Amino acid sequence: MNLMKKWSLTVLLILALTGCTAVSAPVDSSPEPQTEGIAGLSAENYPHVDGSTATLPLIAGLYSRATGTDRQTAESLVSVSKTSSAWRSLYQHGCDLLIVYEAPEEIAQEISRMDFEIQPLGLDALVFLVNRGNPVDTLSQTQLQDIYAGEITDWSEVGGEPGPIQAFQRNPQSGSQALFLKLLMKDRDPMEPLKGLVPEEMQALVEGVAEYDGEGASLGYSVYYYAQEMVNHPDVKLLAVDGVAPNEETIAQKQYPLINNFYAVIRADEEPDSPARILFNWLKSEEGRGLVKEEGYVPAN
Amino acid sequence: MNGLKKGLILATAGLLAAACQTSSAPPNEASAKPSVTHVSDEPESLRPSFSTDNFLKEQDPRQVLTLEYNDLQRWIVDVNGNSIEGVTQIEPVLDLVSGKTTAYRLIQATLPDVKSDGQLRVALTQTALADSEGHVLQDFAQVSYAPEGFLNYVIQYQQPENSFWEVNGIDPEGALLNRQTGEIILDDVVSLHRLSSGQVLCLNAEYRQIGLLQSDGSLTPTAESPLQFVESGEGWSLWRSSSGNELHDDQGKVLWKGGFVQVLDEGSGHLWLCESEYETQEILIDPLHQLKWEAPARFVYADAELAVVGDWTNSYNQGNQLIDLDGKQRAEGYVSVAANPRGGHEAQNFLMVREDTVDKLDRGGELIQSQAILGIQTIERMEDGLFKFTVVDGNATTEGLIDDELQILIPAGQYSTISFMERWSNRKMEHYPYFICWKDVNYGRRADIYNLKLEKIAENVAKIGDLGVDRLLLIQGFEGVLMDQNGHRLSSISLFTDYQGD
Repeated sequence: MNLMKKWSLTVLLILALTGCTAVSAPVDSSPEPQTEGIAGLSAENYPHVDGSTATLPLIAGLYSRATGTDRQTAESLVSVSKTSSAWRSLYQHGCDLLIVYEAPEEIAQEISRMDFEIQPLGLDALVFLVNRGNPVDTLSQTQLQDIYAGEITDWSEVGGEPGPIQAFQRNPQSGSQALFLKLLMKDRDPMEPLKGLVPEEMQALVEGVAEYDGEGASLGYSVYYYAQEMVNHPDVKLLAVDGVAPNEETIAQKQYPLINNFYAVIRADEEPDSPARILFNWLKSEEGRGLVKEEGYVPAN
Repeated sequence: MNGLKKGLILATAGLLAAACQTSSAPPNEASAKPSVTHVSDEPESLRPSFSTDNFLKEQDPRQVLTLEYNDLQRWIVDVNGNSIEGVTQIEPVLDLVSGKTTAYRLIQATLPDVKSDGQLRVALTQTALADSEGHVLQDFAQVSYAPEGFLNYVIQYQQPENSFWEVNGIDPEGALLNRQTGEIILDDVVSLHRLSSGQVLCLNAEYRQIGLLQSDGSLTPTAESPLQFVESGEGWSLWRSSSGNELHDDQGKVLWKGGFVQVLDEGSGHLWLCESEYETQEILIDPLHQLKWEAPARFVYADAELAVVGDWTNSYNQGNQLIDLDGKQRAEGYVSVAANPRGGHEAQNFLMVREDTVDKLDRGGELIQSQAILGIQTIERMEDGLFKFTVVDGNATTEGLIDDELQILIPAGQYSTISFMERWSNRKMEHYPYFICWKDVNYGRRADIYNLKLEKIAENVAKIGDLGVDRLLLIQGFEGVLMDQNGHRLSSISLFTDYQGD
């Protein structure tokens, strides 16, 4: 898999990335020192890594591996500015390497003059969330499109109990929204969201679906890793799409229809021996793929 | 009170960098450079021991702490580590859309309480959990109430918005209530301030007096005062208007009236005011004796006998001098000076910074001791016996801690800032018994937190929420953590799951 490709932003737009989410199941807190390391990297020269909320556990695992810092300490020393800001930060030399979901279109255009090297690291999926009390378990892509286009407005139209569908959307800068537009809506325009149905934070969306009215009226979306691995809210369930439930296997096999890569990204002009490029190259290696899997993500094919 | 115990003790041997050396130089002229004679090598087990008299202690009534862990959500947890259910809210506008009312809100209440030494302390602001109608569901206060009549009053002020994350930064709407009946006694009261006479000023949001609680518990409503209350001490209170200031005695009699003033020091029953007149200042003593300072000056310290005076035009360039009030110079040529002790006493000595050195001088200006600290620029009193210093090394400015024996407690180089966690209570700063030490690491800012024994109790903290006397609520890694002052974790939540996900 050494498909190291140098893509311009134009290609990036075609690529279509994903939304931002956070991850992480609270990690092993036992401070076992890491011994393997990554040749050429240490805490002193470690590059500035930014990314999406959902890639935060992977970023922590990477820092731990490269610097020999125990995992718990690594978690306390990493942070992300989230998808849009992270892309912009790389463009503006505010950071050196991204582990990130797809850039929203607006950001992609903004940074289109910059050449990046982009390496798919893992697979994630756009998933749809409903209250666990909602009898609907599956929707087709067409039904979801119609709901978000405002053409289906009542749960009874898709096999649920009669009642208006309260469809949450994310803010335009979020990585989840970028995935939503790219993977589901494609060339269809989503309806204007009702005021108040655009949570800024991914977690707020999950909470909102769980608590909105307590009767299963709401519908939202996120990325699989965040919703399932990081939040796993007891009052929320993930819908099957076109009859396929999202899980690690269906995502890895690309049976679930709404999947997309997340990426490692550096500026194309990074020197061959720069810490960012060393880390980037390591992420492309089998060891790097192994780390992605260790952290609970589905490695890219 | 009085800060550090004498003979303050040493930090670890590891803390003592080579540059941090003490000398027990004999008394000398202040201008003479001492020789460095001693490197501390006290064992690691000897830790500084601080008096906690100046810090919030067990009478802190707050039983619930909050931590904002993203833009929308707070973790609300009691001091025993029990999350309070139902307070993790989604965006309030969602409630508006759905017509659902917010189930809970936080209100702030100002309650009187009693210090352990029996002195009264009034107007301690705290937080309580209330339902959407404002009814208190859980009173977070567990305080002992003194029998004095005025302590039967409570100020309760509520935020105008029904949203708990908007508690901060909004002018409160307050009222003085009868604590037993809940009856509003006086509207618009947002703070109380006890005078040394035992009377309590009732102040509105603009700090104007609108009532007076007598020590027998009776309330005398007053017309809104034209002057704004500033502060008070033993037998005096200072009031301010747009055109000047007035100093009153306990009976309201005007003792002094003048231009803009600020309290320089109030040690030993003396009151010191500096009045700015263009670039000159006056010292007002006690406050009946006035001394005109003829030259432009910046006062750092003053008592009945001497002052530390900085050159107004040259204050950061070796302009500070220790001087008699009659003008006789006792020491000069220092870039930064801290007097020790301050609280309630005349300073017995002064820690004074000159090039790469901090000197300890007595009141006569004689050199007691010196400490070499490469790059030291400033020194500042944190508590009696405890000082913070800054060191510039190239483009980096870092801070360290030193005691009044000139022992380095935390060397420079580790932390960009060191401070006590503080809060304003009744217009006075109160310290929590922790040092918050910020550092830059992996392109971010993280804090290490030390207790008063200089034991590190939390490391790499990204965000600090509410603190209590024996409780810290903070974000560490991917978790919100409640811990006690020894660093023991009492409860935690994942930042990515709800608060039941522990």
